[in-house]
Amino acid sequence: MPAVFSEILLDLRSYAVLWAVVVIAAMAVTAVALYVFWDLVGRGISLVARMLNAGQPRRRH
Amino acid sequence: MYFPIADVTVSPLLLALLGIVVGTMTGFFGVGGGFLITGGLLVLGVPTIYAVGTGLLMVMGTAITSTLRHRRLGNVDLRLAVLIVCGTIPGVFLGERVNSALEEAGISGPVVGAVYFVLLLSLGSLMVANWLRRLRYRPVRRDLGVLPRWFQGIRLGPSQLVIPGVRTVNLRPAFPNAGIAEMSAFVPMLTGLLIGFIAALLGAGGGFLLMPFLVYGLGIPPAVAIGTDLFQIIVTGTLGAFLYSLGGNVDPIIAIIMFAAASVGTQIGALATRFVNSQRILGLFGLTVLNAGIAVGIGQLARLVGSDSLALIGQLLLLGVSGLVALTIVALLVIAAVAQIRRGQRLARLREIRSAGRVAAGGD
Repeated sequence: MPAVFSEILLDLRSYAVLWAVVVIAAMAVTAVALYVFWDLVGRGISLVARMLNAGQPRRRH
Repeated sequence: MYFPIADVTVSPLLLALLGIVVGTMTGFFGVGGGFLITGGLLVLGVPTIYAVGTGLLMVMGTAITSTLRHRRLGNVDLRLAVLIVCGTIPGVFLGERVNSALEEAGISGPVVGAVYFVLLLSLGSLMVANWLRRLRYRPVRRDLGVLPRWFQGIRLGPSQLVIPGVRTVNLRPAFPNAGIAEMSAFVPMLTGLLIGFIAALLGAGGGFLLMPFLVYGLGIPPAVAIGTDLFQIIVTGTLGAFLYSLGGNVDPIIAIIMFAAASVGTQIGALATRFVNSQRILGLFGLTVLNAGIAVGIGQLARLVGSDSLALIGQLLLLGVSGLVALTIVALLVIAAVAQIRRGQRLARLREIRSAGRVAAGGD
C-alpha cells in the first residue's frame, strides 16, 4: 500500500467521529456500488441469453 | 500486504478466499457471518479487537448487498423487517449496557462464551434433528405449526392506534410477503428487542437467532425469513461497526478487500436459494451453527486450559467446515442449474416432435 495513503488513513483515525463516519460511509457506498455492478452483470447475461435465443422458435403456451 | 491500521501483514488472496466463503453463506443462509469472519481473521493473525471490529463492518456491507439482492427476488417483507428493527435498536443499547456491566465485574468473557456455546449448540442440534426427522418421514403439512399459530394469535396491546386528525394505524397488520394474514405489531418488535439484546451481548449480528425464529416461530418461508433477517443485520452491523470505529478498532481496507470477494459469494448464495429445497437450506444452516457451537466450545476449553494449539484447532474447524458447506452450496446450485437446462432441452425436443407430428398430419 502506498505510504502516503497509509499516512492519510492513520491521520484520519485520530479524529474519532469523522473516522467512524468515513468508515461507515465508505462501506455503504462500496456495498451499493457492488450491488449495482452485479445487477448490471446479471442484466448483461440475461440480454445475451435473450439475443442467443432470438433465432429459435417461440414457445407456445 | 501490510495493513497499517491493524498493523498486520496478511495475504490479500487469503482474505479474498475467506470473503467468498462468508459471502456464499450470507447470501444462502441470511446470516451476517460475524462469527465466521472474526474466527477467520484471528486465524490469519489479525489482532482480536480489529478482527471483531472489521468483522462487524463487513457484516454491515454484506447485509446491505444481500438485502438489496433478496429484495429484488421478492424475499423481503419490509413491514415485518421495519417492525423488528424498531425493537432491535433499543435492544442493542440494552445489550451493550449489560455487556459493559459484566466487563466491569470482570466476568464478560466467560459469560459471553458460555451463552454463545449453549445457544449455538442447542439451536444447531434442534435444526439438524428437525432436518433429519423430515428427511425420514417427509410429512405433508398444510396447516401452520403450533408455535406459529400461537405467535400469530397473541393479542398484545391495542389493535389500532388513533392519531387524532391524522389517521388510524392498524396494530394487527397483514404481512403479505411473509404469508401472515394478521399478527400483532408488538410480536416482531419484542422479537427484535430480544435479538438485539443478545446480539449486542455476544458482539454478533444476531442472524443465526432471528432466521430460525422467523421460520420455526412465525412460520415464514425460509427464503423470505432470510431476506427479512438480513435487513435487521444491516442495523446491528452498522451500529456495532460505528461503535468499534469510534475506538479506531476497524481496518476498512481489510474489510473492503474481503467484501469485494464476498460479493461474488453473495450472488451465488442468493441465487442458490431460488433452486435449492428449503429443507436443505435449513439442514445445512443447522450443520453450520452446530459446527460453530463445537468450535466455540473448543475455544472456551482452550482458554480454560491455556492451550494455543487447541484454540487454533477450534478456529480451523470453524473455517474448514464452513468452507465445505460453501462448496456444497455451489455444488447444489450447479446440480439444480444442470437439471433445469436438461428439463428445457427435453421440453424443446417434445415440442419439436409434436410440431413434426402436426406437419405430418396436415400433409395426410
